[in-house]
Amino acid sequence: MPASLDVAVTDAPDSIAAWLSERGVYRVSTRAGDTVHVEPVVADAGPALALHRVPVRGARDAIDAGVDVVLTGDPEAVAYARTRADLTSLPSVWNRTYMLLVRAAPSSDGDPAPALDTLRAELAADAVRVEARPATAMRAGSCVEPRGATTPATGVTDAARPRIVFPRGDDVARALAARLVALGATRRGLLAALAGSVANAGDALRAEGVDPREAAQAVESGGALAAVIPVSPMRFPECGFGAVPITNADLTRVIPLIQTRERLIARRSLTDRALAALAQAVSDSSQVGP
Amino acid sequence: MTFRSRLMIAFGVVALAPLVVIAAGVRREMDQRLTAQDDRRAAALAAVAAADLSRRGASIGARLASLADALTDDNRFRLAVTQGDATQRAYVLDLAGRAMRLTGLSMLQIQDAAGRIVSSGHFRNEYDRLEPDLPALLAAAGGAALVRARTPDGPLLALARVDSVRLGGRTFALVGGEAVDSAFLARLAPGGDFSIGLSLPGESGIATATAARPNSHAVVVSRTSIPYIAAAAGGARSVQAATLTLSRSTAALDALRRSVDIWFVAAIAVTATIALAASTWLAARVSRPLRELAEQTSRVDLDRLDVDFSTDRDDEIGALSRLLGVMTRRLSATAVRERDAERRAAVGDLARQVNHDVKNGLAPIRHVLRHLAQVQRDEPARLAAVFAERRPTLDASVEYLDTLARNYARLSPRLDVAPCDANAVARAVAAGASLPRSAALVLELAEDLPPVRADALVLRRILENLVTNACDALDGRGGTVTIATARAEGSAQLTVRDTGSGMTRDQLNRAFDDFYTTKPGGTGLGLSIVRRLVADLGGAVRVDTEPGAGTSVSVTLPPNDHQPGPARPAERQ
Repeated sequence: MPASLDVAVTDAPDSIAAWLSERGVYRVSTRAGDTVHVEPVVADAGPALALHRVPVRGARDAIDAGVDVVLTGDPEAVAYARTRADLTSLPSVWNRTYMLLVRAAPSSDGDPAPALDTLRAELAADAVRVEARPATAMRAGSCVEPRGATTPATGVTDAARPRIVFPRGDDVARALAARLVALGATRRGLLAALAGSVANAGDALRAEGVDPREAAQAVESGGALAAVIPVSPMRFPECGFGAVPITNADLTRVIPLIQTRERLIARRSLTDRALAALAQAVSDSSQVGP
Repeated sequence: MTFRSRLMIAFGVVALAPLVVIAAGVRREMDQRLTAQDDRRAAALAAVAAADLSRRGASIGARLASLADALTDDNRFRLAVTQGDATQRAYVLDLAGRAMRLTGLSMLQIQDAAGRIVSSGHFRNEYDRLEPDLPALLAAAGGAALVRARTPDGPLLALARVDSVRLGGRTFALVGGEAVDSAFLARLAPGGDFSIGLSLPGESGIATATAARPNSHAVVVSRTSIPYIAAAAGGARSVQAATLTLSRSTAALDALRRSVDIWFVAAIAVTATIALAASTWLAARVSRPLRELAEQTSRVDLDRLDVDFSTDRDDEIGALSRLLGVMTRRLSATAVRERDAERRAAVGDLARQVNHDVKNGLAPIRHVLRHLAQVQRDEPARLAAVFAERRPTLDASVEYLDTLARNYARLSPRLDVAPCDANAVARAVAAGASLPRSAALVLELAEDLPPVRADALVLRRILENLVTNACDALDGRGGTVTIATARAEGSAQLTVRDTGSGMTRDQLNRAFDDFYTTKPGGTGLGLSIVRRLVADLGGAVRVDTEPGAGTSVSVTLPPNDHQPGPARPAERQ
């Protein structure tokens, strides 16, 4: 078994390392520049991994450059791997849930309208370019991650900045926000069911990337009508899909939209034990599929 | 106005007038040529901008046509849109984005016959939106038109065209274009002082950044209308006209004008300064000899004709100076002749007077002698008695003739000229003066009086005559006689003033004539003798008098170092 595998990831290495740690298989050992080194929690349970980031559109270049493992959601890279006999791929667990935060009182019945299921399906199928599925409904009042105080919201700010914000650099969140903006013109009724203020913005509605740490806060402070943010289901497994970093759950409606996952692309030349360890690390399966 | 001022004005006019005329002419010519050049450049740029805009529209059309051809051959797209193959949906949704990147367009959307957006490059997730009017409006515009396309980030203004492709009996519209922003406009007007602004009806326009300075004017060079598909009231859209305005900033031209003006003003200022300095120098150079000549000329009078007008100058001033010298020499000769004539006339008058006086003195003597001769012949015994009787007559006549001789002797004294203390002479005269009762004599002697060149005896005679006249002028009424000395321009001045009866103008005019007197028993020779004595000393006499207010006679004597020259006449006032 190689001492360390070179793993190219299209997400932040720290985020991937945290996710692997939450799964209880790996833990962070060292950081060297932009590379994060993780090692198995159980000694000799698998190879150590050196996680370094590549652009989403650079995943195929990483494969061609001979990297051992690529972890990406880029469908083009996955399709490319399928055409290569020397590569194998394995879907990860659904490791990210995209939430829509709207500043409004949460519904006691969960989602505001059954039509949201159709919306979730459409979003998962067409709006994003990664492997996705509709998110399940959320239990009322659950899974709020404590945060610091935020600036009180004002209606004036809402009207002045009719926008849906998303974490800058997150293409999935951006696509979801863009689709919601488009729905403001095409299916305003559906959007009104989600949030009246968002639907009322009409053609003035915009999608705008913000600092990832400020996306949820922007809704609570009145800086945005809504926000699309990703959460990890691993941090609070009891919630089913993760915790939402908001301050006051009574003033913010949290609507799960879709869940996404990535694919682990590995060289078949790796040892079976290494491949099994990787499969255990990223998925619920112990075998890497064809 | 002085000669210097006139010279300076003339210099200023000569130096500045041509420069001002040249400056104004150059500036006007430069302004006209630059303006015309700018106008030609602006017209050319306007034509280039219009052509570029047209070319860009054509380029968009060409790229849409190529895309239409590519779509015709795209089986995945065909399967998706004609057979409803759901597995190709993601491909179709991303198709416009890929095509947009390949063709370099900023906006691209594929719409089906119903106007539903099948794929959008500038707003991928706007799929399924209905926008049936846009292809029709673009087709109605007959070419490229400005449209407001939606994007997640906000509206995008684009110069768009429409094309179409038929697949399986179904028509799909391709709407594509380039983003119209300040960079787009800047490419139409490449920098410099030109800028392009785009005005949209009912909306705020956009414009290129210019290098125009504050307070400069922008001149509109051309306006071009572009079809604009604008939203109207009620949501319906229509084709309106946007205006593309090419403007030219006059900042550079204004700056050039200001710079030229500054340089012209500087040149005029320098020229004026040089002209002023040159005229001042020249005026000083020309006027100084004139001023000196004027000063020399001012010293000329009949008693002072020894002014030296000799000069080495060979110009007009030198000629004038020499002419003045010749004139003074002529005047000097004339004055000598006049003095000789006057002297001869005086001598003639004196001879006639002497003849008359001697005859008058000799007549009694002749009568007595004739009487004595008759007595001796006829009555010899009474000769002694008659002689004794007539002797007083002889004595009186002899005394008269003796007195007459002494008086005439005073008319031509001999001078013994030497440095002389005028104050001492004044004190001696004052001591021997015979004043009438109730009259006072006052001495006002200057302490710093320089020695004078004179004969002390002559000077005493002058003062004695003047004091005697002053005492006589009091007419026994009492009053004051003052003897004063003073320094006067390096020489000494002696003045005898009285508070007597003074003289009329007529009396003054004859005061220096021989034998003219207004006093009973006067000889009429006092002031005449004074005038001659003063002239012999090389001095001058001045009389100031007013009837009833007294008379002041001033004698100015040359200083000790004075070389004798022609005597000055007496002055009367």
